[in-house]
Amino acid sequence: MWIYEKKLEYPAKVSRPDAKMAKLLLAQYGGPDGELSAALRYLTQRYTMPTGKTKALLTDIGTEELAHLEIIATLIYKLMKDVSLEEIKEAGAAGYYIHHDRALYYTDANGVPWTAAYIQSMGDPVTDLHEDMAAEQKARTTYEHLIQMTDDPDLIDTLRFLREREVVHFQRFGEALNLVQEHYAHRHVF
Amino acid sequence: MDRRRMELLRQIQELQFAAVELTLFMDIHPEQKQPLADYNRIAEHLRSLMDEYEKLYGPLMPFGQSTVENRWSWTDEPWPWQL
Repeated sequence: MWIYEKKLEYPAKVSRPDAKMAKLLLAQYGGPDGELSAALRYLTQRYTMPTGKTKALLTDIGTEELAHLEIIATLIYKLMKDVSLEEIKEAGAAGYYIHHDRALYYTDANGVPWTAAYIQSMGDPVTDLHEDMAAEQKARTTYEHLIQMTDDPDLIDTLRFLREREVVHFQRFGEALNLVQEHYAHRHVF
Repeated sequence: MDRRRMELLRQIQELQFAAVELTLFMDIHPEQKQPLADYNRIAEHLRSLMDEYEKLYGPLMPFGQSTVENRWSWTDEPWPWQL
């Protein structure tokens, strides 16, 4: 089971309210390669991973992604908290405001709602781990795009941490893929 | 899966469920004293059972929440969905 811990994995600070960045950060909240997609992807694929090690890795990275989802939510919340309606309109976030005010909702940066179609679970661990590695790279690229869009040093610091975690996850998934391939090489299941 | 392990797990589940129920109740009724006393008694008992379980069968939690002796047994099967 899961137990909530009342603290963030990493500090999530912003220097000033910024509706434009809040809207863009939704990419990593409810977007295709965002933290919700990542958490749900790994936590549903873990059941059919073939070994204890790979079951553990998907459980643990899936859990860490939930912590990252909370960091992104915190950033968006803080960026939106004190913005004026004028700034919301200027940021092109009026449509979001109509449906959600300043509340958190799972959409991407363009307002497209989250869908399970963003993730796969194929039952073939080699296939699933390839998807996971690709997802981590796409998330890393998204963080780099986000970092390019702001000069807020506090926001950049947190985004850099999240970007770095994508790199580490990619590395661990790659190692897991090697383990799985060795596992099957010794078993001749095909 | 040996019988002692299943028994301990069941006891942990029962105690933790009581703690979950009390948490929800006290979220809305934080001023009542009896549920808080029950919660603390249960939490202590739960911690001792979890310590015993972990000593025999390995960590229940990752991320520094449990200490792990000898080797990294966190990855050991069975996982909960294999029981």
